[in-house]
Amino acid sequence: MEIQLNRTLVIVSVLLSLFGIVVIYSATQDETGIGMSRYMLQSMWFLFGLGVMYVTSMLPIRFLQAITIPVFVLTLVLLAVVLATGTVKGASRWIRLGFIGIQPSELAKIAVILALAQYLSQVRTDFRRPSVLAVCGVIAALPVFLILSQPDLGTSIVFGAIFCGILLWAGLSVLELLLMVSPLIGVVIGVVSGFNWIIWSVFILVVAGVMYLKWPPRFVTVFLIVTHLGVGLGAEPLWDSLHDYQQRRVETFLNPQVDPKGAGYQIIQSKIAIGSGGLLGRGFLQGSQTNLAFLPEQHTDFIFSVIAEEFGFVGSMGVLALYFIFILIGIYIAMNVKSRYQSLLAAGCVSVFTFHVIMNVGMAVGVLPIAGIPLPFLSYGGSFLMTSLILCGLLLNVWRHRFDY
Amino acid sequence: MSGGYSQSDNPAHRGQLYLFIGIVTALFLLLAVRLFYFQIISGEEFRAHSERNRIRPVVLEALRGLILDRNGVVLAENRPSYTIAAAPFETSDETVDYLGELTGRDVSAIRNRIRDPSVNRFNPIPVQRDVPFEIASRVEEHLLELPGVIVQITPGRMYGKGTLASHMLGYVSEISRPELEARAEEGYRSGDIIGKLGVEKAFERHLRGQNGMEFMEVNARGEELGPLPGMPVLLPETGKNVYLTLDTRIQSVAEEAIPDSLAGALVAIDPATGAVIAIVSRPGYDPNLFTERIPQETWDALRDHALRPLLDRTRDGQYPPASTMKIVTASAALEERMVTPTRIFRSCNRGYLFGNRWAGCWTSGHGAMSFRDAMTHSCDVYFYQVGHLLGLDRWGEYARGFGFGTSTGFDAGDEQHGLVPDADFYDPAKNRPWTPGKILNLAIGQGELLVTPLQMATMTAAVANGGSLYRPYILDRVESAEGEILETGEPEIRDRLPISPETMGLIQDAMIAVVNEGTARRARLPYAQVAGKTGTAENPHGLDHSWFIGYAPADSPRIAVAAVMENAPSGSAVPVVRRVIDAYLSLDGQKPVAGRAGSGSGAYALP
Repeated sequence: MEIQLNRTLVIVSVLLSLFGIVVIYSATQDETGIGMSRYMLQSMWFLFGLGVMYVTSMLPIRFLQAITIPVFVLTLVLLAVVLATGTVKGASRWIRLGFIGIQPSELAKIAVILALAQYLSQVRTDFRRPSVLAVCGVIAALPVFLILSQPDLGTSIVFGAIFCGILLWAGLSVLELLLMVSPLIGVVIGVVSGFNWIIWSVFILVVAGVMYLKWPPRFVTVFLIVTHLGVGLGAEPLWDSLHDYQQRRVETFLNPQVDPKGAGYQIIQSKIAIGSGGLLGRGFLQGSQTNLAFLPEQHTDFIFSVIAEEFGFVGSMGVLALYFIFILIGIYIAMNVKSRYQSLLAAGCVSVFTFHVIMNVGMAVGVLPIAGIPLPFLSYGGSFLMTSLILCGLLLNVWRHRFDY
Repeated sequence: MSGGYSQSDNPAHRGQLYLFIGIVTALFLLLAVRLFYFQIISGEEFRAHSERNRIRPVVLEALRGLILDRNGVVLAENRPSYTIAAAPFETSDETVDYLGELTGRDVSAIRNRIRDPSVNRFNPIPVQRDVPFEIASRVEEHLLELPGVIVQITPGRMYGKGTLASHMLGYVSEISRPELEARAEEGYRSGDIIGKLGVEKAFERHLRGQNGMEFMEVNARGEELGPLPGMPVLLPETGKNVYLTLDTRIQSVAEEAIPDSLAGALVAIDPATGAVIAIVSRPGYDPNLFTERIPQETWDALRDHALRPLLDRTRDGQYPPASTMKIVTASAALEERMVTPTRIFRSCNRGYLFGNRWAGCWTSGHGAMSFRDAMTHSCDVYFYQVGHLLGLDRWGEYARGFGFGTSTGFDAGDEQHGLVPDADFYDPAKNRPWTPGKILNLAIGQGELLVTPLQMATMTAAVANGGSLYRPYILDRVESAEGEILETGEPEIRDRLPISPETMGLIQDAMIAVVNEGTARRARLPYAQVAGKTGTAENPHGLDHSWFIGYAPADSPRIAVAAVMENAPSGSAVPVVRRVIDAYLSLDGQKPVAGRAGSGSGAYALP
């Protein structure tokens, strides 16, 4: 069992990455760019990433724990550097090291998983101990704050997924978690409903009902009442004080239909591409929507649409199945290691993969907003391919060391 | 592990496990159902969309912003025009050949345009703009035989006032390859229209609108079936309207005041702000010629015309300033206490013996002169001696202090800087040896010294307002199409003239005397005191150039003008400037109403 599990994980990730390279080749075949073609670049990243994944899987647990704080601090520094230097339009997410650029927000995903797992493995997670939740909140919020300032709304919500995933795994119940983040939900409801006070009041009644059911400790109760009051009174004036373009950016994210220039067009193109794939697809290099270049970002965020068009329902379900297997193995690993630390580590990795796959495919089929969330292993882009392979390496590491505690 | 939890502390209970697996499975199922619906159930419909029909994203060109004068008189506007465009991906070589046959345009030009690897292959790009109606309708009739080709109605540019302010307005034309490469980031595409010169170029960022897009469904034969259902039309955004500080009425007075037989330039500035009231380079040309494909003969005629109409003399014309420079030389000498208002120099006896060289004066001898007399009568001998006392370095400092030899900072784009020679300039190795006699020439504004009319007007305005060297500007305000003011041109003092108020006063008095009793008596106005200075530049290539700079009213100046007439008799520029000042003061309410009748400035029409 032990060997096969690891082998299956490696096989699935390699299959997905290789398939990604093939599809990137198809999606970018008529780019007349200068320099190396994208599929070649992606191949090089993949080979390099395989090595990094192997090294990651071999690292001793103590080593992982020892580097957690330095990695976390380094991540914050790099994010701050990106903010300070990123004045050029569109370049603010990158740090250039010679000829390659890295995205510190990718490193931040790994750093936050390591830090949360380490902290929560040393304390008892309990809804009745607000200090634990507060520390976890700070660990996740620090990088989120810096990434939001870039501004990169899409990437920052990945941290919400990591935060929720690890806390749920650590023992928090869903209702408790929802209560903790309810002020945030209140803000979103306010913006979406145009600050309709009736809708907001209904929401507050629901929150009050849950509070009555769960009967949280006094500290949490006070915190919730204060923050909800703050949101209720302060959100609208704060929203009005934002610039038009800032408001539009948030609105576009919550509801892409308000920006027909970008998002609406992409969604329609993506749906046509997926739909025209049919059962068996149009065949490799045959996707007309794709090859007509109507589909924007097809090698990164919309690569799933290319797969669905060229390889049909069979191809897209195959890819989904591979992800499903990968995630189930991840959950199995998290369930079956003895140490709390390793279990939480695995849960964090699984959260990232699950979130990315669901968000990306959900966006391609038009049920979720366009958030610029790439598909693990498949999407073009060195930084996220590296992150995916490192996270896979961490899962392998957990399974390899499942008896060392 | 160091923490309180050691063994078999896996936090996951069955509850967590079921929760996780439940959530993940549910979400994956949701996606699978969605895919099943799209790909299996309604797949046929989508396949029809993408197989039988193509989607053609057609650019909807935005209207360019208007250019207006300070009073809202429209100088540049849009008119509908026919454009033939072709989508590279859909257009075969046979189609290109046939299109060339129908339009009479060079086939290789069309082919180069649409086979350019850098263009988006799916957007139709313009291959021929401003097509005459007959050709457009001929192509329209044959569209079925021209798959990939469309005829669009796009905005064309129209300059309703013809040659008025032609150099300042500039013109628009199709973007060139180097421009396209330099501005790739800004979303220009091959075949787009861009400002090439003047205001059109300098304020391109305001004037340019944002193109929209429409998604048309096209069948296999290239026929447009109509907009793609469910797809919004992205409407183009009109560019912003640019209001200039120009006053069209003064501009036309100035243009008419310069005789058609002459080449010349005139710049009028509001001395209190630096706002340009009129800016004229003559002869002009009709910018409308450039918005269409200009016929080779017309282009050759313009280029080879003896008076060089394409040259913008206000900014790119560089002339010796001649005696107008005596203002600078005199300022320097007064400021350096080398002359006093009363000191009399060696008398002018038709000239001045310097070493073994004879430097002549322009007239038959002025006799002994004070500073004021020397200015009034523009006596060269007096200034030779002053220049000799000053020396090259000190004289040069003042010349640069008055804004010469450098950019004026004009907001409407590039300009020549002129030339104020310094010690480094005179280099025997460059065949420009220094001789002490050179300073005599420079002191009277001759020799290697070069200035532009724009620099001269800026300097005149600074003398008029008591010493503030304003940055000249022509952008009055930018308004959105809805009339919201987005940006306004602000006066900006670039520098102070390097002279004291006393010196300033002496110079101003001398300039008044020049008009009242000296070389510029023809500039006098009955109702307002004009101050000024004439200049006659020796031109080694032909007849002299005539300068006049002036401002009025002398006690509270409203307008400062500099004008130069090429190859024209001494003093030719004086009546031109007088007419401009007269016209402006009339509009400004400075001129008594009774004085209007019969004045020489009635050439303009009030709106």
